[in-house]
Amino acid sequence: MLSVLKRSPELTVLVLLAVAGYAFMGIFSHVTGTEVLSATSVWGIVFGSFLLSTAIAIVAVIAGIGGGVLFTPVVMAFTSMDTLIVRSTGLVVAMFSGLVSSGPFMKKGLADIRLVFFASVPVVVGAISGSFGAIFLSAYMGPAGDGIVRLLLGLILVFIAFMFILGGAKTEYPQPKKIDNLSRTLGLRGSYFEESMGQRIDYQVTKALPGIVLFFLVGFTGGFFGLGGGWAVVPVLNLVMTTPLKVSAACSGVLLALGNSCAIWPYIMYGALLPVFVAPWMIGQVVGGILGAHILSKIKAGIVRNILIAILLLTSVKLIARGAETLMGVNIPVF
Amino acid sequence: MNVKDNMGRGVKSDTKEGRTEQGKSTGKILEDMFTAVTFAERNLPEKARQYLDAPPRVRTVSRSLEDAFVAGAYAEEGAHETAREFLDSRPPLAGRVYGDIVYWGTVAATILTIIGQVVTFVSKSTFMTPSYVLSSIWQQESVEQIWKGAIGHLPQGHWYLKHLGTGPGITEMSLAFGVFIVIPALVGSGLILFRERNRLFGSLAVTAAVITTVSMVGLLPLPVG
Repeated sequence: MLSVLKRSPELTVLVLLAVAGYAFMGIFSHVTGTEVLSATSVWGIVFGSFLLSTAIAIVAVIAGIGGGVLFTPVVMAFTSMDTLIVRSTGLVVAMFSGLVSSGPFMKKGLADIRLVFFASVPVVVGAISGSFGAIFLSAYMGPAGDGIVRLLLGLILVFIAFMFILGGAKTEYPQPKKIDNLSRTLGLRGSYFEESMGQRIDYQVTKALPGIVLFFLVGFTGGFFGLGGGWAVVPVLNLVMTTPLKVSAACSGVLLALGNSCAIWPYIMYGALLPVFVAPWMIGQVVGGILGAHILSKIKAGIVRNILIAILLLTSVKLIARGAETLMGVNIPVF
Repeated sequence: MNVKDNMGRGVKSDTKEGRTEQGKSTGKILEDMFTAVTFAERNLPEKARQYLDAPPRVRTVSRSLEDAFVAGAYAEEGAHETAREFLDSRPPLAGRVYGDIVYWGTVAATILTIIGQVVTFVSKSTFMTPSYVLSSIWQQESVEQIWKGAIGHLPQGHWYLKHLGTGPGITEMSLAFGVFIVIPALVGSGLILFRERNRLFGSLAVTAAVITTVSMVGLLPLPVG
């Protein structure tokens, strides 16, 4: 922890500034309470949100997913906030840890810039399409349509998690059985220095065309639920396109930020991004994102895989429960 | 030493032109660095420091120096192959430019957001007080209801630009700046790829930037509410 702070003086500045800022806000606040919340509670909610967001960001970056995957289901499960507010805040949570981790990932060579740009256009187009698709489905099928899609998505996540489990160590550094012409023509190959092993890892990406289709679908589903799409980018890159797991996780963080940056503007202009509520979540994501990115390059890829499997399974349980609740009209008490 | 021989190869690029250009500059930088190390080894640290502090390559040299010392550490342990692999696998310029713009832009946006939050809390009057907003959210009020309770109507477009003197305005502007930073990063990285004659990936970067810009200016408004 201290070595990370020494290597990233800007992180030290951010942490000190955030802590000093919240202390200053607590001492010199002119906020008055309401019938619902006291002035102290208001400050407590804001500071607590910052701490929780930091913890979520660390886990999210290491797992190569967006924090929105954790934030959105938890907030939707345990509070009754307006879903538009949760959704827009979820996009901020999903994108800022990815944004700030882009720097360390690129500098360390973990994120492959050509692979990112290759996937960026279908992800971005998919994210926008997903946002519109959600609204259209909601208009025509209402909660039932939402329930069906969440249920299916939960089942898909279970399938992906089991693919990771059964794939074992092979998924850390997968080797393509056959390289397709498009991947070869585009030159989708690269290398990075694996610090934990002290050697360079060369990799060759394959199945570029299925990758484009899947990236569009990933962007679509991410935009559809307001969760971000990083959680599914890793399986696509790692299992389908045979990219090493650590590179997949790093690329996913960068792609996630790219896709969400496109999808979030309409929410900003509509006013759904309420600054008082969103700000502590954003600050926590940045601080936790930098910490997570530094930790990622130091740990074995297998640890990332195990965290990822756990998160995929937990997310799938939540999604299936929510889908079943909506379709059957029952209350299923899960985490 | 093998490490020195291999350092000149430096940054990798996928085009012949890019390789030649970057290889030359990296080779020169590393040559400078080794000169400085030689000064240091001869107990002339002040001279070495002055040599390295000389403009205009201060930042580039420091970065190269860091890489070289990591490689040197591997070499001293007898791991010459590891040192070579470390230097050969350094990321391309386009990636580093993208990462740097996004990283520092996000750090700046975060600092501004913290300032915006402090201003929101210490201001005696603001158009959206934290207690009002959080209480409304807690009471399950919709976005529309919250804004109507605050200013009487939903905001239009980039509303924060008209409220830059207030805490919420500064905070929202900072958040928007953090989101916006992706666009110059894509364009900058794309231009470098074009310069390296990597037109396909340069075009993809610029295309993503154009789509994001279209979203930002509101040509694709989300039909919510």
